[in-house]
Amino acid sequence: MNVYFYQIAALSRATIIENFRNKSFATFLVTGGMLFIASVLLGRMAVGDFNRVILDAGFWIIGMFGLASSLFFFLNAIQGEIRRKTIYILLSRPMKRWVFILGKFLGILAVLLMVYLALSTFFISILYLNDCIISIKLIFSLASLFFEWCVLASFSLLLSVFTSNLLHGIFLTSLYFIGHWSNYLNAYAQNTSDLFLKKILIALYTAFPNLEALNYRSLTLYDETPDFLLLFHSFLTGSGWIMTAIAASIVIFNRKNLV
Amino acid sequence: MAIELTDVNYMIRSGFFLRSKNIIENLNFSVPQGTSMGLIGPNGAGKTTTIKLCAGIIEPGSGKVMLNGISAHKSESRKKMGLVTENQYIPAYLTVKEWLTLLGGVSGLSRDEIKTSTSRLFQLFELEGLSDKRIHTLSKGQTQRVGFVQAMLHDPKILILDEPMSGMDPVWRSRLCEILVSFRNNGGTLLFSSHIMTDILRLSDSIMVIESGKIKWKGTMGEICESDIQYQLLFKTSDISTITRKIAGSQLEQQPDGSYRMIIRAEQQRDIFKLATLNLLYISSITPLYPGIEELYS
Repeated sequence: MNVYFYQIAALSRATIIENFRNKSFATFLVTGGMLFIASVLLGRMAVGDFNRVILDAGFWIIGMFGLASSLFFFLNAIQGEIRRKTIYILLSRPMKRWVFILGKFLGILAVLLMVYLALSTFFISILYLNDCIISIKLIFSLASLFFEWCVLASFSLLLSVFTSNLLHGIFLTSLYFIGHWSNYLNAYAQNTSDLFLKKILIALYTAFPNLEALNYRSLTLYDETPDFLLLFHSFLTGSGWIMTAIAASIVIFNRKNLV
Repeated sequence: MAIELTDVNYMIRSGFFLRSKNIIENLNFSVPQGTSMGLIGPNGAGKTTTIKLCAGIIEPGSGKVMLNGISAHKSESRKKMGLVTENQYIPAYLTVKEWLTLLGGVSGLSRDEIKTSTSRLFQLFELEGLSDKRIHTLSKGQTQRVGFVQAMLHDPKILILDEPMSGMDPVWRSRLCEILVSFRNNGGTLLFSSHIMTDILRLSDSIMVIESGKIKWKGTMGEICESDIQYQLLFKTSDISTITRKIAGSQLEQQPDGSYRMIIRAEQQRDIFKLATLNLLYISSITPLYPGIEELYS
């Protein structure tokens, strides 16, 4: 067990260093900062409810950055290693393939955490400087957003082991939007009288992770009271999706033939 | 046996209709511990695929690839195996030290073990002072030496090398041959592919020629040497007619500098030395030729 731990730690560490030194990492942070500044300008242009505009825009920016960074950092994680053939040297070591997948995933998750913390700090600073109330509910909402990033990251990992970069981008973006709209699929399925369509809609609703189940922005936006049982359910659902996606990635990668 | 392949087949599927194509067909060979085997063959013959199969990177479609009696696809078999690829595939953003720390870590070495091993190998491969450099800033030869350091970092007993001398200057090619010969003399096993005949002759105990994924010929160096060895003789003389009279039937060519190049058989060497002692010719060099290998290769 100790050996696996050291192997995963070594891989994660190298992945973090590699991504930190990539200029795109800094570009990501600068772009995020500029978008937050733009959101303040947008708030000032709005008629009334300035706080609501910057809160809404802030959550939207962090949410979209979750999609963009899970896509960007995972594009190079597995396919990049295969393309550069660095994977040959790594896999010729006494390392199991699941260790490679887990090491890469945890390394990139750490990078995503850094991006997330930087963006959240920027967001909170903007709110503080504009005299907005910073409550515990805001922290809950932000934490749920990071959990959504983790779900996206695990699906991005899954896509990175078997698709091309283009398909990876298309699939992950579709998964993000369908995941946020999947409640509508369920609602439509419940109301339709066409049995065939109902089955298809329910299959789609089940197949895609329901990202709205992890959306707790309304706690801050509408000052709602948190339902801890619902939060716990969301946590379990999200964890289930993450574990399923990682397990599927390992199964596919174990069978992958690196020609 | 350190490396053993039994009835190994490997195919890939390619094209729109995913048609199968055999890359390796019915490969059978073994490399005993403490010996070396050179793989030769034209481009696309299946040498690199054989290397990847032996390194456990790819799994055969059928048959067995064993390293020290354990299937090469199992991670335990690779504990004492090092791989050097033709081009060093190295992450651009890592320094030499970080790359070696990563590979040491995934090989199960502790930080102290990595440090000790790295400093010993840096000395051996004359890479001191380069540990904090990003790998993409190194020259081709230095990068190739880093490749050797990573392969030997965990003190392997088997080294698998794909065109290991690629990009090396003559001095380092000779040094690497010495290092590899000493590795083999200390009980290490070598399997390598190369296009450079002198490296193959210097390093191999046995040779295997692959063509279109099949073994065309395999045997020991002794078997090749027994078959028809010839020598290339470069010499100067003022009386070429005496030489051609005494050494009959040999190929002769005059060089631009006025010297002569002659291909002689092994038994004609004695006559040549006799003529040299009589000052009828001045020998510049005598180089052995192994027409057997060249014929097998072509």
